[in-house]
Amino acid sequence: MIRRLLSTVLPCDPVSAWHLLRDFGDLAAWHPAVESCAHDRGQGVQSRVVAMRDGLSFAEVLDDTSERHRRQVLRIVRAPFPARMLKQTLTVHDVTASGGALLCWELHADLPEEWHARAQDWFCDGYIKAGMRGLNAHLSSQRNEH
Amino acid sequence: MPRVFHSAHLKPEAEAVWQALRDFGGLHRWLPGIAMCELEGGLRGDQVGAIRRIVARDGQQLREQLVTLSDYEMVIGYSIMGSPLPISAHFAEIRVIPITEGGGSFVGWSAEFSSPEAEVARVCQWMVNDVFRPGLSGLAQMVAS
Repeated sequence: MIRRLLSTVLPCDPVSAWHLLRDFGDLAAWHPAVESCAHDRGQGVQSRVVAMRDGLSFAEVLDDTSERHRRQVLRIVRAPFPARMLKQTLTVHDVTASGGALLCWELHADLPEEWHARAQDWFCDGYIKAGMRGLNAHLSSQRNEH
Repeated sequence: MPRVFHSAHLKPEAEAVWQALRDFGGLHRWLPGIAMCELEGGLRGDQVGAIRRIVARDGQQLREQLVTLSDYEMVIGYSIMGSPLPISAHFAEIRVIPITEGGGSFVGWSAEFSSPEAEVARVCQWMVNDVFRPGLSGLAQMVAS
C-alpha cells in the first residue's frame, strides 16, 4: 500500500484554484505532462482518459466532489501499472493569514510490491509534481493577466 | 452551529510544529498571553483525556480536554470545558500539513461551538483574533527559535 501526500502553496485565492481544478475536462490546459484529456459525462459518472506526453495513458472517474471542503476524489480505472486500487485526493485549503491557497494532492495505491518504486516515481515525482508546477504557472499567468 | 477557522503557512517544518502542538500541557510556551498552563489528573500531555488548566495574564481561566491526537495525521482535537465566555458543545481541531514543494508547514485551526445568538460574534472574534491568530504566530516563533 502506498500513501503519499504532496502539497504546495498556490499563487492565488482558494476559490480560483478550486474552480480550475474542479473543471474535470480541462486538465490539459494546465498540466504540462498531459497531451490530451478526453472527458466523458455519460450516465451520471464523469470520467476522463488522460494521454501523457511520455506515451502512457490512464483512465479515471470522478468518485466524489465536495464543494464545502474543496475536495475531489479521483479513482483510476485503467492505469499504466497493474494496480488493484489507485486513488487521488485533491484538496484546496484556505490559507486565511495570507489570503492564499494550499493544494494537497494525495495518492493512495494498492499494487504489487515490485511496482511500488516505479509507481511512486512516475505518479508522485512525475505526474503530480509536474501538475503542481503547471498549476502554479497557470495561476500565476492568470493573475498577471488581471 | 458557528464555526471559525484560521490557517497559516509557517516557515518551520511540519514535524517541529507538530512536536510543539502535541504537548497539550505546553500551551504557555507558544500562545501569547498565557501566564500558566498545567495538566490535571496525572495524565501526560499527549494522552487523550488529559485536562489542562489555563490561566491568562489578565487572570481569566479556562479548562480544556484533549479529545483526539493522531501522530499519523498530525491532528489534535480538544474541547473547552470551562471558560469565562458563554461557550458550550465546543470542539476545536488543529491540523499540521507538511508543504512538500517549497518547504515549511500549513497549520489550520478550526472550532465549532454553541453560544447564545447575541454572543456568537463576540466569541468568534475572541477565538480568531485573541487565540488563533496570535497562536499561530507564536507557534512559528517558538519553533523557529
